[in-house]
Amino acid sequence: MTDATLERMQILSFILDEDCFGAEISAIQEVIEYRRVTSVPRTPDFMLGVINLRGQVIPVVDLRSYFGLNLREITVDSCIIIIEVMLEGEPCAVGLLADQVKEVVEFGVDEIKPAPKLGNKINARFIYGVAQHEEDLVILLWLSRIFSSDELQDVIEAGATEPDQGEAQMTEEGAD
Amino acid sequence: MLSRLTLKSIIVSGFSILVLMLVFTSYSGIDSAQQLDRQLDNLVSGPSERVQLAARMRQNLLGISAGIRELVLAKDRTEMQKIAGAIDADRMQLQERLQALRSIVSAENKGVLEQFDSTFTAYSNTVHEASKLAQLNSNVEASAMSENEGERSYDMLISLLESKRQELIRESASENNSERLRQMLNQIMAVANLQQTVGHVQRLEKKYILATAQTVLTKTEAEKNEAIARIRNYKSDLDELFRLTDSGFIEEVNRELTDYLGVLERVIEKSKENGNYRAFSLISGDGKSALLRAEDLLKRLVDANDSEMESAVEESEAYYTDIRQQLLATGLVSIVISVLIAFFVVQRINLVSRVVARIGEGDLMQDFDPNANDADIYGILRRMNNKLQSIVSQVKEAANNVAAGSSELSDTGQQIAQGATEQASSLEEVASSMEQMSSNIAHSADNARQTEQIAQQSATEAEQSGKAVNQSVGAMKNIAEKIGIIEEIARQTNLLALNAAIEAARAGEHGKGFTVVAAEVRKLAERSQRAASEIVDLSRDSLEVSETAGEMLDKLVPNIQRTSNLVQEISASAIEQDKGAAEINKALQELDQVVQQSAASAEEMAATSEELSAQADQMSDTMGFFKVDDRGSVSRPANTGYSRPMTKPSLSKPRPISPETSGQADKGVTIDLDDDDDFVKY
Repeated sequence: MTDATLERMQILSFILDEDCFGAEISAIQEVIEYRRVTSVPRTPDFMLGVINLRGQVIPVVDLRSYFGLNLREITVDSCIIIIEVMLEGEPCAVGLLADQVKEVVEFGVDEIKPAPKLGNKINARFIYGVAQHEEDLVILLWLSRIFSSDELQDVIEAGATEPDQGEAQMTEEGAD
Repeated sequence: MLSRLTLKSIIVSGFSILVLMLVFTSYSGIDSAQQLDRQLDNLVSGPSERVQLAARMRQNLLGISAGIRELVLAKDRTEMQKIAGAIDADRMQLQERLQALRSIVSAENKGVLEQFDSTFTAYSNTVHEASKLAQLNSNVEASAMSENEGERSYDMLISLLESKRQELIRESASENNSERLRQMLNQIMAVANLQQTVGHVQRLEKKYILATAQTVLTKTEAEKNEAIARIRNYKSDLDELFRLTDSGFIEEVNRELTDYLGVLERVIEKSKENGNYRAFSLISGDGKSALLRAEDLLKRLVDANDSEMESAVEESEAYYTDIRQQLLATGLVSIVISVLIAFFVVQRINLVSRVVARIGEGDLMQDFDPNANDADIYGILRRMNNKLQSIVSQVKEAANNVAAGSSELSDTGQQIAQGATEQASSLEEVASSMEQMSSNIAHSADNARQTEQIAQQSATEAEQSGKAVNQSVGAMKNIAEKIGIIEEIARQTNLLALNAAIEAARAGEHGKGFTVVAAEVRKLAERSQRAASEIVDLSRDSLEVSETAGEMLDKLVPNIQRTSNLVQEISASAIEQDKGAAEINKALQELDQVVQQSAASAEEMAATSEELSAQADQMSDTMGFFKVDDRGSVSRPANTGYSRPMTKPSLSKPRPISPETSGQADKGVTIDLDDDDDFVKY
């Protein structure tokens, strides 16, 4: 996430286990429907696997599992949010599984409140802030911090930095 | 204390004492009898025996003396022998007895006995002599001989001579020859002389036989000799005279004469023996004195023994007096005891009789002596009395209860009768409603039939609607499908719009216009999504409804079928109901009869309970005969119709119909208050 120097931020709100989360749009590439995820062996639980998006192999992460939230079933509303993160200085695409994508919302910086220290399942480190949109409380995630942790780094590497295997997978499974 | 003794114990102890006394008395009596018996034995074996022996010896002695006298007088030889035998027997007996007496005679009398022995021996010898002499029986024999042979021969001789003489006399009467006549006369005279002399000799023979004194005998013999000489003379004369004419007669005379003379000689010889007389004189002389001496000696023995016996008798008498006193005393004591016992027994029995008599009259309130023994008849009566008391009071109570119960029973009977009447009326109602029901049933049967038809129709129609519904469901599913597609499109459009918004945001300034477009597209997409979802909801609802309708219709059809079946069953059962109703009617009629009967029975029961009540009264009256403690009992009021008695709480068995009773008691209390004179009404 880039620095919050702009007055207004555009946030994509999505739902993980009934909780409303938000991520800045700048980091988000696109949102696609849920599709079959090819699981990768010897990966942690929150690593669902990889998908093939227009020839590109993208690892998919389940933040719910990572954050220890209740897992929900996959519905028609389930989406995968493709985000761009920096991995060793290089941009890398990662997919996030979301129960539902809501909308793009604009928040003023003043509307963003800091996160409460206690009573949160998610480590406060990962939370940029909290904003009120209509009735919902949107928890703004600090994606860069999330994805800068070693765990996720390894995971992403395991998924993304092996294009040979990825291509091999791709050819085996065909598109999508 | 005496009252503690039972009648049984008194009687038993009294009788045992009496029995003991009896035993004692018997024992004493037996003992003394034994003693007396022993005394007697002694007496008998002692002095009495001696006396007896002496007496018997005297008897023997007398027997001998009598016997020898008889023997002397006896004529018959066999008789003589018999008598001699008896004398011998007596003599032997006496000797035996003498021996016996010798062994038991006392010392002082031994001398006497020996004297007697010697005396008797002398006498015995005399007797023996006399017996011998007597047995010679000379006189008797001589006499007999004279009478028999002598007479015979004499008769024969004399008859011979007499016949000859008569013959000669006869012949002489017719004899003319004087020589012959003279011879005959001489013959006659010779025969007559002989006859006469023989007669004389015969007389002399008789005299000889009768003679006992020796002098007479001698004289008679001389005469006899002389007579015989004369006979011989006359015989020779006769011989001479008849030698020539009748030698046969001479021979006969010889024969007869010889015979007669022989007999005569024998008789005389026999008479000479004079045994009998000699025996007699022997007996009367020496014999008699010896006899007297012997008798005297025996008497002395007897006397001596008599005194011994007398002393023994005195002893016995003394002993007897002792025993008599003892037994009398025992007897007196026994009498006293029996009188006492009898007295006590009679007293007890009288007491018991009195008590029983009074109980018999019904007085159960007698006072009983509490000290009396329970096992005694008095104690038993006491228990009986108590028991009777309790029984009578129980019976009285029971009678009262029965009376009360019977009156209640009669009430109940009335109630039942009433109830029966009500029953009858309600039965009529029931009957009428039954009729109504019958008509209803018929009606419903008809309805059922109609319903069945309708149901069938409905079934078919329901099926059809079912099909229609299915069709509409199918159409709706179709719609839902299509709408699903639209939804899908709307969603994807949304995503696209989202992505567009993202790209627009990333494009920054340049993408602002595009952001708006994206936003609009998004809105559109959302709208269509919403509309689609609404449609989906609507169609789902309709689908649900239709499905529900379809299900319901589906369910309806079998239900209608079931309804139809049921209606069939209904109509069938309606028919049965109709039949049942008819039967119920019949039953109702019967029930009506029964109810009437029960009403009648209830009346009977009321009447019977009246009777029962009366009987209970009677029982009470009968029990009234017994006088018991009436404090706890209930006196029943007079039986007026079906009135209930008032019960006091002291009764042991509370009556089961207590609420009504208490109600009655309440009424009673009310009455009492009203009647209380202390409360003055203002």
